[in-house]
Amino acid sequence: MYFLQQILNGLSLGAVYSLIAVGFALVFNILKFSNFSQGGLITVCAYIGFMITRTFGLGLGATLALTALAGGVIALLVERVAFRRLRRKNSPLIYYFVSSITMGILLENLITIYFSSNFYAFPRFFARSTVRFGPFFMATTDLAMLGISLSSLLILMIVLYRTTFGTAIRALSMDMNAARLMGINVNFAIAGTFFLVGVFAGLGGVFLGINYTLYPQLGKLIVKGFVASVVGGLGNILGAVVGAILLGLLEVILVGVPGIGSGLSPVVVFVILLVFLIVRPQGIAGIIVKEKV
Amino acid sequence: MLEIRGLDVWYRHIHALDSVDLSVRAGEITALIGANGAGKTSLLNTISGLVAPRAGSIELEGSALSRAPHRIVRKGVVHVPEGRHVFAGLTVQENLLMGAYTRRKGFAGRLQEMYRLFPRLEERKKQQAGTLSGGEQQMLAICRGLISEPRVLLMDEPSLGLAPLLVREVFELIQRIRAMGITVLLVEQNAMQALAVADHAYVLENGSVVLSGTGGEVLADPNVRHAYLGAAAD
Ligand SMILES: Nc1ncnc2c1ncn2[C@@H]1O[C@H](COP(=O)(O)OP(=O)(O)OP(=O)(O)O)[C@@H](O)[C@H]1O
Ligand SMILES: [Mg+2]
Repeated sequence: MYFLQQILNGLSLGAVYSLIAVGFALVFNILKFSNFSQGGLITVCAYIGFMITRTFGLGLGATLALTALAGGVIALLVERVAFRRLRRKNSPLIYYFVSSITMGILLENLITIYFSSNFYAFPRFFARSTVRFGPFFMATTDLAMLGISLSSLLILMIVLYRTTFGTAIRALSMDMNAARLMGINVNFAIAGTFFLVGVFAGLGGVFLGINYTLYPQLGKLIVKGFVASVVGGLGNILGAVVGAILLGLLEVILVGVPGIGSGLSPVVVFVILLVFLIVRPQGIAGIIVKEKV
Repeated sequence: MLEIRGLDVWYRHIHALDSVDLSVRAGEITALIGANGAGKTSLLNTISGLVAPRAGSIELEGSALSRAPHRIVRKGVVHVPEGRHVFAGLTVQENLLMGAYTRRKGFAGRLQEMYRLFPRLEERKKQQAGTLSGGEQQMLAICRGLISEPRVLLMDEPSLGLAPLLVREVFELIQRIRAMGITVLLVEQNAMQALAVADHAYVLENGSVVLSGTGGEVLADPNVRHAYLGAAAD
């Protein structure tokens, strides 16, 4: 009984991680680097969400929608400022990496300047704090997190796999020059992808803010999303979601294991990351199609 | 149709194209032959906007062609690249959809036309393109170029790595493409067959045009016979 309860908790944690992991996967997919500016972006979004609720007294749904939109716009700016010039000059990938980390630190410091390092907390969104399913209890916010994360991931999948624009993003990730030759406006498609990344950072930021209170280093939690995206296979969207859910479950379960507890559980998680990077860098995902030459 | 004047292309200190002049007439097959590294692919990449020239002009029907690949495609100049470059992880049908990215209206109908042209592609429409045989990938790459109904088709070594029977099929297809009213600029290593179907031809050497004329004239040139067709110059 306790175990099933923990699985429910792990699922909702994993769902939030998957919002972050998908952001990594989307950028890695098209530009082939791990975009650590996402941490800063998520922090900024968490504070934006907080300001929106505090100023307008909006509910969770409206806060999420507005923050997602703001996140999308900021991600567009980040792409413009940090990456577009690098692409025009055909810079090596290491520059993207450095640029993304710099951007992340910049965003985080902006937040520190405006909000100092005080802790803030989101207001309570729900009158009833838990929902009961037979013998199980779930925090209402956890349930909302699970439902909203999974449905937004489902929408992302539909966009990527069922629309022409989504197919163009996937084509771009496989062969950028060939995508150009199809008449795909690569700058536009990359900007569109960054908008999606920003939307997910917006959702993730609000949820992380609700879960952990607000502080300028909130964005360091993106490491969890990064681990998940490595486990899922870098650049593999579905793999990232699966990796994130597994990670959420694992963390919650490890905390309950005698001898590991909450102190050692991050250590175990990083050992798993290392093992994946060494033994199976392509992640848990199945078939990788090799292009015939 | 396409007028190229004084085109100069550099990669850092490699001079790939040296003031190349070339015209492609409407409704014709223009062949471009030359040894490895002569600059043939560079020329096509420059026309389609993947490579920026240092100097020179490219005009389509009298007006300067854009330098942005997606605008060039919208103008009806479509490039089927060397080495196929199909999207390996997309299905055959998704690859064709990408080919029609700029002209999605009427896609379903044109898709059926392509499938009539190559029933093999229809049988494999849900298969990932990376799992197709080399020949099938080449057919897919050509169909992906054709499905937007281009006005000018740039083809870079479409017969590369194909068995003799398939090579013949490709050259028949190229003639059919001309019959559809599509202007073709054809880069080929198979000089003999390319010159046999070409209305006009250019020979490129070290980034410069060294010879041009009708397909027959170039085919009859003793130096060409010696260098590209393996015949003794007499
Ligand atoms: N991206 C690039 N960077 C640097 N040099 C390049 C690049 N692309 C081509 N080159 C050089 O430019 C010259 C012309 O190359 P190009 O690919 O145009 O030749 P080609 O005629 O198509 O040859 P092939 O018949 O082997 O395909 C070569 O010396 C090549 O090494
Ligand atoms: Mg070439």
